[in-house]
Amino acid sequence: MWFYIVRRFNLFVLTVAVLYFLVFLMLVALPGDLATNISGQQQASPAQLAELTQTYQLDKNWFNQYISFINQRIHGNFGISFTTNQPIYDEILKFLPATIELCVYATLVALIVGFPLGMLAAIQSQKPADFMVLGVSLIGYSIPVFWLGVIAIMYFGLELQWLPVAGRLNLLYQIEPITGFTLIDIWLSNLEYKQLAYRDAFAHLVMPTLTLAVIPATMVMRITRTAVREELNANYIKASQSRGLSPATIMFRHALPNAMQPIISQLSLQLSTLLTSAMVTEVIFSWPGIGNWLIDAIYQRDYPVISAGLLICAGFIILVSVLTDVVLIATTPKRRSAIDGSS
Amino acid sequence: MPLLDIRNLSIEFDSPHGRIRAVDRVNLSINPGEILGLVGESGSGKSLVAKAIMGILNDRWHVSADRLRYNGVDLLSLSAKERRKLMGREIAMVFQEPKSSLDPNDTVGHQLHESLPTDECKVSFFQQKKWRNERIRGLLHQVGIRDHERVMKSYPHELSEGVCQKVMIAMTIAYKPRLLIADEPTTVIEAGAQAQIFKLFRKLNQLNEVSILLITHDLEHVESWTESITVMYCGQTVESGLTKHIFKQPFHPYTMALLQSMPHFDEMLGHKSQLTTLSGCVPSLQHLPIGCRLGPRCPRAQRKCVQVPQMQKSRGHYFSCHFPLIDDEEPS
Repeated sequence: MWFYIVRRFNLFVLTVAVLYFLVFLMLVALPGDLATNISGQQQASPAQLAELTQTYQLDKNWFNQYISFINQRIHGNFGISFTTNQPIYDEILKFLPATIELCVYATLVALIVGFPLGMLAAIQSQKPADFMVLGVSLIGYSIPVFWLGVIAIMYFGLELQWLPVAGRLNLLYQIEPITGFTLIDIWLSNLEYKQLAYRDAFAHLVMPTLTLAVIPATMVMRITRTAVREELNANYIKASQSRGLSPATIMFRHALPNAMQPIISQLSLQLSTLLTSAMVTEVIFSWPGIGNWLIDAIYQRDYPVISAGLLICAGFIILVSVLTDVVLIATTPKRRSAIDGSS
Repeated sequence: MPLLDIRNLSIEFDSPHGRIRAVDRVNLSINPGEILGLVGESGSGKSLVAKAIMGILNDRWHVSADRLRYNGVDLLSLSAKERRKLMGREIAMVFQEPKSSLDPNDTVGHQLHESLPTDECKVSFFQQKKWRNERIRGLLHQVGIRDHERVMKSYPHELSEGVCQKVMIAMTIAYKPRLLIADEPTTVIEAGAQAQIFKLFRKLNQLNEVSILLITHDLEHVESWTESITVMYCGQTVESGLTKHIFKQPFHPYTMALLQSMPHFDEMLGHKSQLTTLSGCVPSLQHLPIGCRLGPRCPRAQRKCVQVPQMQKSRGHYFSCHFPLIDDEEPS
């Protein structure tokens, strides 16, 4: 077991090293001075330039540069932004929680909606309920996020005026950002009108979360449906039926735990889709998250920010896929054994 | 009264070529305490019959029968819940691939625990675990597993097929069933363990009066372990009767061919001579011949064979053939 965890960790380190190398290559290839691109220092004075050369070993060969680039990034030195001249690390800390908040809520909604519906479709295989779920998921999967967001803003935000169209919280509420997650910050703050603040934060959350949740929910539905259906046709289900176990026992004690493994591994593959649509959603709803920040940086040709955003997003996806692997190994008895676990 | 009585059981499914009858009017009956062999090639519908008795066929199969009675109870008219109750307690089934018939994600001990009869547990809540473990240990010893500790803690993939099959049998006998359906129980098991499994069946049959429906394509096992057999070809019953009678004098050409395909080493086989087989191969389900399905391959087939032959009886020996292998002088 520990052996495999160490192996996966090695894989993680190597993949991240490759990722850093690609980003480093990008910074070298981009127009402009490498010292400027890598640190974000524009019009550096000779003294600053000398210091940068020292930190990033720019006078040595590319390998030393690459190593010191990794070294700086790992220690939290992402340089400064071209546009704001703020340390990028601080900006990440400011924007990342908003994205995480949005993604977590959207994933929760997707799971809560998608999982039971997928199970229902699998149990009612080839019956009206199944076709309904399939149809709904196909429609949901085909709707582009940007269109859905704009339509939602037009209808619920402008026409009905039920929900606010942009931002995370009304400016009326002065919440000190401690963790960066609005709901937790409200809880930690000592406002007198917490209830109102909560209601406002929820109202801001509803549309982005639901818009973002549509595609993951349909994916969860389809993946769950396929996985559970496959398990329900397996031999051991027939055997447990023949032993007279109740359908609920068969479903929740045998079929579901076995179906969870393909579901988890498939969903972790879909994480990049979630992150991309999160970026689009953030832009539409002016959600001050990492996607919004990154897309702004792309418009501004803010190379240090682009490279930092790349490192963060790709690194997050690699981390999650490695963690999924570890979880899968830990929960699948067959993979824990020496022969099968090597794959 | 027979324990299991099946008359004209048909199993059909809808295909793009119309409704196909995979099992065509099969008759079967098992008396209490009997071991009946159901013999046929792969794809002859033996497993379908077993699954139809258990009621675990998918929705796409349509089962119909004139009679499908277990101990006087019509199985087809039972509700799912009543049937489940009967399944675990009275009728049990052992499957072809024991390893895939156990949940790969669960320890063997827990799966055994699940199939224990909980209503027989008369002890208080705190002693239940002890009671269960004792019962499981007893069951495992009964099927010949000594190192119960290790087996209970293992996952199915850590055990051999033979041990898995024994565990499956232990699960089925937890409720002391009266009928055990064994669907090719030894096809994937190594030879040494095969004999153990059969001995176990024999022991269950003799000590607990369990009737056993043994589904197999291995004639040698049938000859040595069963009292009577039913032979199937392509979803039709061709012959049934006492094992020794059929092995002595088969009436149906297909049974004859089956028996001839068994090598008999006492008959001085010629060096490198070919074993007798029927020409041709089993028809696919889309192209089943009408009438007697053996027709195109049968050495004795005549024009009359395009009609399905009626089941005939001759001295406790049933067969369905227009031109049986009986000496013509004898009245059939």
